[in-house]
Amino acid sequence: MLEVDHISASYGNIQILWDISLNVKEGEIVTILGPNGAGKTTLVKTILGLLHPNSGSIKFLDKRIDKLPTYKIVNMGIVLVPEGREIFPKMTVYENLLLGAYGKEAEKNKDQSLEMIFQIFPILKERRKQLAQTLSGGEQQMLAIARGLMSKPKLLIMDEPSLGLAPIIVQKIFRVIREINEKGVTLLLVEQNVHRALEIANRGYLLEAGKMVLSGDWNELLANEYVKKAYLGL
Amino acid sequence: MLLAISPPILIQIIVWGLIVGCIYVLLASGLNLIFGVMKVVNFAHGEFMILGGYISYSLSIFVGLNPYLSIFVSMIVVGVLGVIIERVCFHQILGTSKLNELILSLGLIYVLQNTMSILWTDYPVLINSPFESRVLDWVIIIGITMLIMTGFYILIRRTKIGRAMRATSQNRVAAMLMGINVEHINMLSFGLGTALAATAGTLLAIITSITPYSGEIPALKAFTIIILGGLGSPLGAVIGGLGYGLIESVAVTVLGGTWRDAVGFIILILVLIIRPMGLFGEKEI
Amino acid sequence: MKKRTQLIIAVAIIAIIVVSAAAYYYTTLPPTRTIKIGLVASLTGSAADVGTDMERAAMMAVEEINEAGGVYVKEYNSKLKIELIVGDDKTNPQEGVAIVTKLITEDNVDVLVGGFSSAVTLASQVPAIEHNVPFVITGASSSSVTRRTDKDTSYMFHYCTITDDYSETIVRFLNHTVKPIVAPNRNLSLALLYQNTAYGQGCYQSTVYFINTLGLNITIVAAETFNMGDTDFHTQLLKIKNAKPDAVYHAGFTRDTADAIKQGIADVGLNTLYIAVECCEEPQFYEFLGSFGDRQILESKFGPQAESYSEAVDDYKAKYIERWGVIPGMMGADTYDAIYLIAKAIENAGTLDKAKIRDAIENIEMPQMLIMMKDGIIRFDENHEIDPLCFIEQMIWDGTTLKPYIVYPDELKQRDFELPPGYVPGGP
Ligand SMILES: Nc1ncnc2c1ncn2[C@@H]1O[C@H](COP(=O)(O)OP(=O)(O)OP(=O)(O)O)[C@@H](O)[C@H]1O
Ligand SMILES: [Mg+2]
Repeated sequence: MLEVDHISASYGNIQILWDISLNVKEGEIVTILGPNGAGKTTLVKTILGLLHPNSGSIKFLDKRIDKLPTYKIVNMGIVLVPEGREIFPKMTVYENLLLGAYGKEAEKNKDQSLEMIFQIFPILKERRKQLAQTLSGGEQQMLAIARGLMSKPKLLIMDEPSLGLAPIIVQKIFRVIREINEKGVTLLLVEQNVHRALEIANRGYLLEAGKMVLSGDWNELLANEYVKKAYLGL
Repeated sequence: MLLAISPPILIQIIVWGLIVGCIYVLLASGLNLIFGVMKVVNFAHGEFMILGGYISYSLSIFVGLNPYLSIFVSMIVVGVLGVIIERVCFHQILGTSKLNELILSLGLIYVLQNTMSILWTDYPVLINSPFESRVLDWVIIIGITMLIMTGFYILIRRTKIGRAMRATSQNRVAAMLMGINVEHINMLSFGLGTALAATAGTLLAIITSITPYSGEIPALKAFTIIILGGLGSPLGAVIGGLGYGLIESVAVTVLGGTWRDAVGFIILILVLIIRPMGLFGEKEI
Repeated sequence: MKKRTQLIIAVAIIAIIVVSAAAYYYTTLPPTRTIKIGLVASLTGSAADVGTDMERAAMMAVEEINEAGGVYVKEYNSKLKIELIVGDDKTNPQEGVAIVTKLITEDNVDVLVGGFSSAVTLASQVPAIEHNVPFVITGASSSSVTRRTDKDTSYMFHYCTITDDYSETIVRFLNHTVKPIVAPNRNLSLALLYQNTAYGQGCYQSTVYFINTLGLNITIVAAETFNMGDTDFHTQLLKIKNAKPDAVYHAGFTRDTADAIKQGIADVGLNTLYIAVECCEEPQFYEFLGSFGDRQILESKFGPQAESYSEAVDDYKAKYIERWGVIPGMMGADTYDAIYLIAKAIENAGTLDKAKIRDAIENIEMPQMLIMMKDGIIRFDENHEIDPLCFIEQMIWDGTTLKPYIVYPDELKQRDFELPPGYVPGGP
């Protein structure tokens, strides 16, 4: 479904990503792991066209997307729940959700999606007339995820959805991720919480200092000595 | 000072302040929209306004169109021109540096002024009202401003495209991630902003007169108003515009005509000292 | 030697002496050149219409003089052509200084002429003062341009009516003609609305001065100001309405005067007698005012739109219309006269030495041309000012056009003064 093929990317003169390859197949949950500053966010930004790769190619559903503007990529079905929420602070929760359903396809299913979302996050239903900036941090993260779901994505990319959230909410979010995957949405999950991520993922990639150092099935990675030592503290 | 003036005349002075305020509201709202979405200060906004006035003038002279109807034609013409200028000029340099934007819009002032000077000469023109009674004009001017501002409000607040414009102004990257084509939103905002300016220009030509150079001072006042009202705050532009018109009228009455242009800037400085984010602005902007 | 041979030799010697003397004389003559006159005019900016008129008038005068062969200058023993170099002050003091400096230092003009707007000219005349270039000012109406004490104005000449002339004519007219009709038994209430510039303030101060020195029964009930370039006078007019004047003296330029009169009548309902000053004597003013100008007043010194009152004016008007297709304006007439005056002065001086040209202008005496003088002679007084004959026109709307007729003074009068339609007298 998504094929990232030998890409490198940079901010100005500083190269961040070096020869990265990665693929995601339909129906999978794939996770990208790595320490702070590894380039995980940079990689997803590159996939979404917020940054264009210097070399290499990115294909989605067999079409090249690495030169497309972001909105076209989004309208093809890749949706990002960005790191740090990036909600629209001076709009209501409801308006934020409507913006998630900006694309034509998503707009058609808007009511259905809303219903589903309010089921998953009842708190958002309660708060729907409130300005997004007045939500708590966790609620804002839920809103960001919900907004992503409103887009009816084919591939949903989540950049550290659990960052800074209480364990209970993290648990809930992971449950939601599995639920939506079961509904047929393919997922690419960026996480630092290696244990949890590998629990729900089919496969994973390990990114360090802008290079892909390891990849494999979830159980392979969990069993890997290096991963054990460096990330699981075993 | 004000007490020495007879009540009917005092009321006229206030009404006049509100009518002038209507023009400022339209001008400042357009400027505010462009700034809010693109984060670009369009210094040539006053020239778009005057161009709108001239187009309505020509329509009323050569086509015999009622000037209040010609407003809508003029809005479209100037709005389309705004879209083209956004595409050809601002789009190319957006995000490069503030200095480039400044120089571009300052350059546009001269290009537009000289073009208008060639097309309509430097002689002042005014649009003759189709009505006998000036009071009717004033009612219509206030009514048209309310109509257009209501339309503008509904567009921004209640429609999908308006929502996309607000989203772009609040978080550009997130808007892109929603699948919004922010470049279209830029063009649209610029077009809409200049169309609002065209309305202001037509009303200005109806109540006073215009030359190709009459846009400079009102544009400066519109900047003051959006700074007063808080950059990016739509309500601030409305209240700021009306308030500015009123204050100006009262200042001319109390202090004399020489103070007309100075008084706004004095208030601006005072407000910025007391409330640097403007009267209605949010702290983070 | 035979007597005959001696004679031939003598003739030859004399011939050689004469020829070489003549050759010597001619080789020491300076090479012929053109007389360079720099015109300072506002071709863009708020006074652009006036500036254009000045430029057209100057071009006409120069063309006429050149067609007649030019100006005889003794120093060159020939008739020199005039070259007109036009500089645009953009109705802006800084631009004015820059353009006059350029005319003097780059174009090397011999004489300067023009200058509208006192505010601009008070600045733009400084480089001329510093470089000792004679400057015949034909537009600025503040007497300061020749009377200022902070600079040496000995090279400055003012061929133009000044604010004193306007105000004196206006208050005399009000007292003589208007007061007996509207306020026979009380003081006439006068309001002023003036541009907050040297020119407007000059109008205001001279009004006060002449009311007092002439001992007229006129009271100033309101004095409001506006900035140059303003287009909205509603608030000031409302305040004036509150003061109940019998007449409003508007001291401004073409466009602000027309705007104010229209706004006063149509918007504010101040149905009074409006008095405009002569710099509004432009075709655009009449066009712009239209029916709003009916029975309103214009102080003037040159009335190309009025009924014929001077042959010189009729000729000039005909030539101007033929050349430019429009009716001439006021400041152009001053400039036209001034170019002839400069040509005459240079001829009198017999040289292009600036100090001598200055002296010749100072001592000029020639018959009046377009601008009438009280004694019919153009000459400069100790303040380097002329003594023009001003008059008052009343504009009459005949349903299609607005046309002025002289109503004061009696010796030029073409029509009796009437109050405007719907006129509401003021109060004491
Ligand atoms: N806009 C930028 N300009 C320059 N350098 C940047 C920019 N954004 C990120 N970087 C640098 O790129 C590197 C990778 O950053 P990135 O945000 O992709 O890391 P990450 O893996 O997402 O880290 P984290 O887990 O902390 O979110 C970092 O060294 C960062 O400093
Ligand atoms: Mg990151």
